[in-house]
Amino acid sequence: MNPTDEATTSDAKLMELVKSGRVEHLSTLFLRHHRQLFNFFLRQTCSRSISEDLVQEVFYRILKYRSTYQNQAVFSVWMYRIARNVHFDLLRSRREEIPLEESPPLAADRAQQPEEKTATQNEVSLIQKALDMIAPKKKELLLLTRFQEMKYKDIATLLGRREGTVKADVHRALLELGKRYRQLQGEVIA
Amino acid sequence: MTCKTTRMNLIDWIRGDLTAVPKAKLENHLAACAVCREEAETLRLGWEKLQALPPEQPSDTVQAGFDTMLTIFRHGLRFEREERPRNDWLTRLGEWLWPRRFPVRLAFIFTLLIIGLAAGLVLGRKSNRIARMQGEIETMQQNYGISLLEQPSAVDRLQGISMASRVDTPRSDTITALLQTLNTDPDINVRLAAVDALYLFTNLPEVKNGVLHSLSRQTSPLVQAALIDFLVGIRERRAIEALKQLIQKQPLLPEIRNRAEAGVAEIGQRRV
Repeated sequence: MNPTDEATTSDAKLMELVKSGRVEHLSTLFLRHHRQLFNFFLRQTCSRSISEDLVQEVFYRILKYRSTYQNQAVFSVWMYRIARNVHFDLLRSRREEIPLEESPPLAADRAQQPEEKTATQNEVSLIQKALDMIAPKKKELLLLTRFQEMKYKDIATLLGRREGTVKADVHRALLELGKRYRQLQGEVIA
Repeated sequence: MTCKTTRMNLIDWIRGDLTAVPKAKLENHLAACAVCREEAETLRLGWEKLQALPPEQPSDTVQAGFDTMLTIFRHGLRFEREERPRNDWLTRLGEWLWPRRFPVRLAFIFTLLIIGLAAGLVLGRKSNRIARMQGEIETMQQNYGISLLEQPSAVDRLQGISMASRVDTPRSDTITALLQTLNTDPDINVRLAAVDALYLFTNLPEVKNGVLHSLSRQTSPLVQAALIDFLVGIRERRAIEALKQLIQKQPLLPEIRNRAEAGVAEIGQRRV
């Protein structure tokens, strides 16, 4: 397969090749998904180093359990099933949510003025705080829709729920995020 | 449009997924209903703030770690494939030989037992020579493993660790080489692999001592965490003091400090 074909080949097709033993094709899947996966973990653990480890663990498990991938299945759904298990294992091993050991630094924007940068940092910090105040399951749901841009149908498959239920849950989670943000904003202003 | 229908469609409206007619109906309802308008505003705020979260970039070590893992996996896979024809042949032979009926299977087991005893008597005389050959193979494995640990490539050094950890009774120079790798190797993955390899030889006092001393030298949180787990896993009493010293160390990630404190508690608990 030449590089152009590789770039246009679907995730499912690449994963089928990995499953058949051509594991080198996992590199393309890694390039396509590792950043989103990193953000998915980062917003939940608030630790860059732990999130990077978890990303590696997910791809290790993909290799290890490649034979369990069902051909034609949506790759991202299968991958996030593994990702959720990896995160669950981490939480179970610590028995509690990981403390905020390091705040996720702001995405680099060199052109920003220092005062603008601080304002954006405060804004991101406020959103992250609001996100941390809502229930972990709701938070996970919002991160799947935000960074993974997963369709309700795929999230429903991933979570084993009906599509309508997922949509209603996203509605409730967003509503709570909006309320929490407004509440925190009020505290900052006050 | 009712309040219920409006609320059901609010998400699609905010995401811009509604077609013209339902969109107009929903907006008409919002203009007239203060309760739904309030909900729509909160929902939109939540959506906008969620979109405002910037995507972060992981460091280059993630890519490097993945590449190393894939390379090692591919080496392993190649090795497995080379081995597979013999295994498949043996599996097929086994399936062909293994009788399906229980009485025949029982008779087959007894026959094999008698053949085994007879063969054992004959081959027993040769056992010294086999043991000597096994010893020579282990020596070669250890020499090769140590030489790989000195290579500049991290993949080679990982293979060296794998090779050195395959032996049942490692020589002292193998243990020294593994401990040196743990203390000085520039690659975190190699240092972590050295921790795993050393865990196989925890019955040796020099391994326990070496790991205890290594704890204070490590600066990587990943390696610190692996060493804490190591010492807690082997229930090493002297680790309590080493962990207490680590807790005092600055700088130290709170996560590692918590882990070390939990380790002190766990070892202390086990001693009672």
